[in-house]
Amino acid sequence: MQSPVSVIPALADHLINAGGKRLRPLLTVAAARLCGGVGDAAWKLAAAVEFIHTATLLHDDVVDSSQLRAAARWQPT
Amino acid sequence: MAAHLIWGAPSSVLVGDFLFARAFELMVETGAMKALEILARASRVIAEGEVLQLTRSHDLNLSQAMYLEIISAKTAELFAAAAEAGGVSAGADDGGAAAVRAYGLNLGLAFQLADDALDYGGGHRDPGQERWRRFPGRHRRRCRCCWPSPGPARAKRRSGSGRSTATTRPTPDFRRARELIVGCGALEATLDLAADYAEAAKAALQGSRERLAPWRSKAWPISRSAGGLSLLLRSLGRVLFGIWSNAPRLQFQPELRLERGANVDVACKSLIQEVLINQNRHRLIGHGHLQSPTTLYRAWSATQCLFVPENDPSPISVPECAPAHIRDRQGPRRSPTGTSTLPAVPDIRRADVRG
Repeated sequence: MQSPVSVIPALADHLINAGGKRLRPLLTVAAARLCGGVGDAAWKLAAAVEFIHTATLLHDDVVDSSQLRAAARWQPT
Repeated sequence: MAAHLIWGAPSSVLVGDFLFARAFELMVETGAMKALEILARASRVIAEGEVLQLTRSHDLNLSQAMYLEIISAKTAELFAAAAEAGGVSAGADDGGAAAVRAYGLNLGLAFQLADDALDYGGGHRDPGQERWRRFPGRHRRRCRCCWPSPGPARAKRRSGSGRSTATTRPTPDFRRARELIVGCGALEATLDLAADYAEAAKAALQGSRERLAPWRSKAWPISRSAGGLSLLLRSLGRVLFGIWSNAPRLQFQPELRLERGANVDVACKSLIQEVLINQNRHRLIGHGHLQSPTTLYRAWSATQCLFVPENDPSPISVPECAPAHIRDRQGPRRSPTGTSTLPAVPDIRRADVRG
């Protein structure tokens, strides 16, 4: 992930190294294979799918933690 | 550690936005308007699903239908769109695109159901270890078939296993809740439903060989080492998605160099390696940090339990997390095709946001 803004590649590296099964992009590639063959477009779409998935994970994380904080205010001490 | 704990929530949100933008740049680069339409719609549906989930959190009366609608939007839609976009990029016609889309949608539902069940100790993971730390922070989803599922476990798995033994002891509340969940058979019911969706996914592709790639069946040199290769391909397909047992000859192209008597594990790893290399080409995993195929394969095998075809003589063992009727291969299938008894999932694509 390249960008002149350093936090972007740093954060992307963090996510990439954290792993994941890459199930969704593989589904794209497998479906392309099933339907005739994997071209350059299929690989790019697979990458796009993984980016969308990663973006939702990042947003989820933030939503979840703010929900946790909200819930904590309701906890009996 | 989750990214927002290191860089802060604002950075996480903004880099998420950046990733969305990059995804759309990549789609535009392909020049495939149809694929762009599919993934753009999926992005909208996922966002709707997340908001829907947010508005229904802490709802103790959440119905099964609503739960399915939520996981359909936030999880299964991307599986469906991923498969459909791949098929469209390879020139699939409407029927072919619909078939792989149906496969992806059902697989996504099966995946999320199993994921939720396993997080409460329905399988081989340590009982509840992934979830208890969030308990009772957030109860997003409750229904008859599945316990509410706080979302961060996904991100946590992805962001590495930084657990220390000191913090992995479930709270009494969580243990009690788990007792209730397990006691009423919710985990088993959830895994059963997941298995049915997995069957429905397979059914979506059955008999589609000619339709999806008619040229391939002619091009493939069937006679060459047909027996061993066919068996190997079938096994490999099972390891990956378990879908193509009826159409073994079209699953993978000869560039995988699958030879008679080759080891399935090795062949599977070689395919994963190939995918990783190509991902790297498009900076999906960036900076040359190729993940170990072995690690990936192990992670993958965790989802394998869903997709074991019946009566498959392959020696690969079925994981403990498999639903009982698959594990012992004796129990009756509730539905051979799976489609007739499944709860209806609303067709979220019909939602017209512009009107």
